[in-house]
This record gives sequence, structure tokens and C-alpha cells, in this order.
Amino acid sequence: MASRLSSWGVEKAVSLSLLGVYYDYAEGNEETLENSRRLPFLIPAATVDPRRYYGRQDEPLNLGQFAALRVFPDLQGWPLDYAPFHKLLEEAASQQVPVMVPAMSPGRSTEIVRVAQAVGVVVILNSVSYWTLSEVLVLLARYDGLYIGTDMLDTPDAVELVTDEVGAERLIFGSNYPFTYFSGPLLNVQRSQISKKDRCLILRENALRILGIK
Amino acid sequence: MIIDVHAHCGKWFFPIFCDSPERVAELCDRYHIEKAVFSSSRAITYDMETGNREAAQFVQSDKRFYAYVYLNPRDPDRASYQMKTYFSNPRFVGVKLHPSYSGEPANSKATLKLLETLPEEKIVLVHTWGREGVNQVCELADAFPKHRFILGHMGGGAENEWRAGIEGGLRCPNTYLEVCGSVLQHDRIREAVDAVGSDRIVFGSDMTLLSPAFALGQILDSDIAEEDRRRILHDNAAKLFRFEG
Repeated sequence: MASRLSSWGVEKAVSLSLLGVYYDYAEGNEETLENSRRLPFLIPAATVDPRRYYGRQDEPLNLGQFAALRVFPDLQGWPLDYAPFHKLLEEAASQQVPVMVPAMSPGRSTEIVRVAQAVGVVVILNSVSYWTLSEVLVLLARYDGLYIGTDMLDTPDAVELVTDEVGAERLIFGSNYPFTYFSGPLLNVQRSQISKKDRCLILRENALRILGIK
Repeated sequence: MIIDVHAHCGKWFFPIFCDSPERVAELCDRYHIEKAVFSSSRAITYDMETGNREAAQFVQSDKRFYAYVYLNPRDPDRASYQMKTYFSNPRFVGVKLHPSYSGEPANSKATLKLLETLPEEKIVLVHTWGREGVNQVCELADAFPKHRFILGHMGGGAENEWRAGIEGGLRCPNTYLEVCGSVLQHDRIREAVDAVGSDRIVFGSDMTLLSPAFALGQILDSDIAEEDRRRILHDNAAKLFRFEG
């Protein structure tokens, strides 16, 4: 996987362990940190399954070593209007860690931003597609702490449209690899009719700034 | 170069603003698309007759553009008339069916009856979603063994859906798997090549709803031979639609 990512020109990749998504997030987060120590191009993202009653005294939620917190409501079957998730957003806000949330269906982004805005946490929406782009464009104009991942930004002029409407600073390249193919999202940004400077922001600079990657 | 067998002309009710013939031509330039076969989004979602008329005008704007005549089997007399009207135009190379929008399953009596008069050289592209959708198209393909059918989206994006598409391709030798979709899970193309062979897989993008980047990216990333890639991106469609020479 490392050599394939390198062949596509990937310098750093924010990643996490599926163990944390499907079984035990604490164990998974440890595995993520271990992998990033072994392969320094991997930037660790934490995950938390809010169905577990997290944050007890003997299990403190320490997000400090992670660039982002990524959650998986669809895979884990919990709604966004869910007190443990709201608490998690508050926790991420207090530790100043951005949260990555999928926004596959209409209404979901509105719900996320309503809570995120109230607690002041930075949110990166992934899985934004033609179904949800209209909603997300409106929200981008209303909440400065909102960004979009490009993994499923799948309409032919979406990158140009977001750049024109709110600026390329709000787009962060993501591929969702190896779940989906890498080159689709990359070609989509590379062949968009935007300036070289904007392309560089989307493919590199925004991630460094927003996720605090050195 | 690439031949795109699944494209749309017309507007969408989503924030997509590259619908003019000039913008679509530019998109084809950007992705090295040599030829593309379009169906009208207006015909599929709202008005078959006006949409097909717009598609006829659209394909005149660029020599790379070809069209499917969209048929709604729920309106059989008008649909039949659409075939008669447009098949005299050499730019109309096939038929598009969209059971999700028309509400008429691909194996319904009305669909079967409508296709009785379809010339054998015309290709049928059917939006195919899920195992049930694939089974319905397979029944249709079995009923017309001399016609060729394209399973749009090769059954769908979820693993159980595209695997059903591959099974459908294996069952029906007169079907082709078309590769586009929003969620393109890794390995779907390699598995399809291993199962049905690269000579029955064709490239489609779903532009202007979707960017060709995503469908193209999956073909470029797939662990398949260069020859397989060339067949999928170009040669199979050239042969299927008799575009060569």
C-alpha cells in the first residue's frame, strides 16, 4: 500500500486502523499510532465509536497525538442527532482536533453543522456527492469551520464550483483508498479548470494547515 | 483514447453547470474521450419526446456525439414512435431504459413487447441496480438473444450489487458490464475481468451527472493487463457500436 501511494505522489496520508472502526476504538487507535511510528508518512487519525460509553476516568479520551478524529455513523449504525456524538464533538472542540464525518445523504450536513457551530469544532465533511453538494455549498457560506473532502466530489464541475463560490481553501484532497480507487478523486482535481495555486491548496497546503501536519 | 457508452445531455436538478454542448465537448477533450453516447436527462426524468428531440439536436453539435433514444415502456405507442423517428438518424445507435425512473421493470410485459421491433444492431443500455435489477435485465437479455445489452453501473456500487452484476454477465453472454457509479469499490474491475473477461466490459462515465475522472481512475488503478485496459476504455465499444473504420 505504501509503495502504491508513493507511486501516485502521495507524500503523507491521514489514515486509521479498521480495528477501531469495527471492533475496539482504543485498541485500533493504538494500532494507528504504532503504524504511523513505523511508517512516518502515515498521519494518524483517531476514531471513537460513540455507542461505547467513552471517556471514563480510567479510559480518558486523549486526541492529542492525532491529526483528526474520524467517525463512522453509517458503518456503526448510530444517528447524528445522538447525545454521545454531540459530546464527542464538544471533546474534539476542547482538544482542538478537527472531526471528519461522512455526509452521504441530504439533511445530514445541516445536522452536523448545527451542532458543530454551537461547540466551535472544525468539521471536514467527506463523501459529499451530487446528492448533497447544494446543501454543503450553503453551509460552507454559513460556517467558516466547515471543509469538504474531495473523495466523492463527483460532478464534472464540482471542484470549480466550490472554488468559485467559497474558495479552494475549503477543499481537502481525500481518496478513501483502499476502500475505493485512488486515481478517480486525484484526476478530478488534477483536471479541474482551476489555478495552479488552488490545485496546490487542495492537494497539499490545506491539509497541512487544517490538520496541523508538519 | 476513450469511448464513453454512458453519458447524458441536458440539465440536472443538482448543482451541475456544464450542460451546454460546448462545455461537454471541453469535458471530452479534458478526458480524451473520442466518442460518447448520450441519453437525455429530460427524457429520462420528465418528458420522453422533448428530451429525445433535444438529444437529436445535441448530437449534431459535435462529431464525437452519438445518442440513445430513451424509451418509457409505460407509454408504449409514443415510445414505439420514438424508435421509428430516431432510428433513421445514424447518430442514434441504441436505446436507453431506466426502470428506476419509468417504474417499468426491465422484464415487464410492456418492455418485452416494446423491444420486439428493435433492430438487432441497436444496443440497449439499461440502468441496473441491485440483484433484482440485474435479474430483470438478464430475463430481458434471454428473451432477445441476438440483441446486445449493457448493464449500466454493472449492478451498482455496493459489493453485493456489483457482484450480482458480474453474475448476470456470466449468465447472459449477450450482456456487457458498464463501469460507472458514485461509490466504486476497489477490486470490482479486476474481479469482473477475471470472471467475464475484458472483452465484455465497457467504459461509461455517467457524465454530465458524474465526472469521467472517477470511472477512468478505477480502470487506470485496476490490476489488469494493458490490453484489458485498452479493450475496456475503447476497443469493446468500438466493436459493439460498429464505430471502427
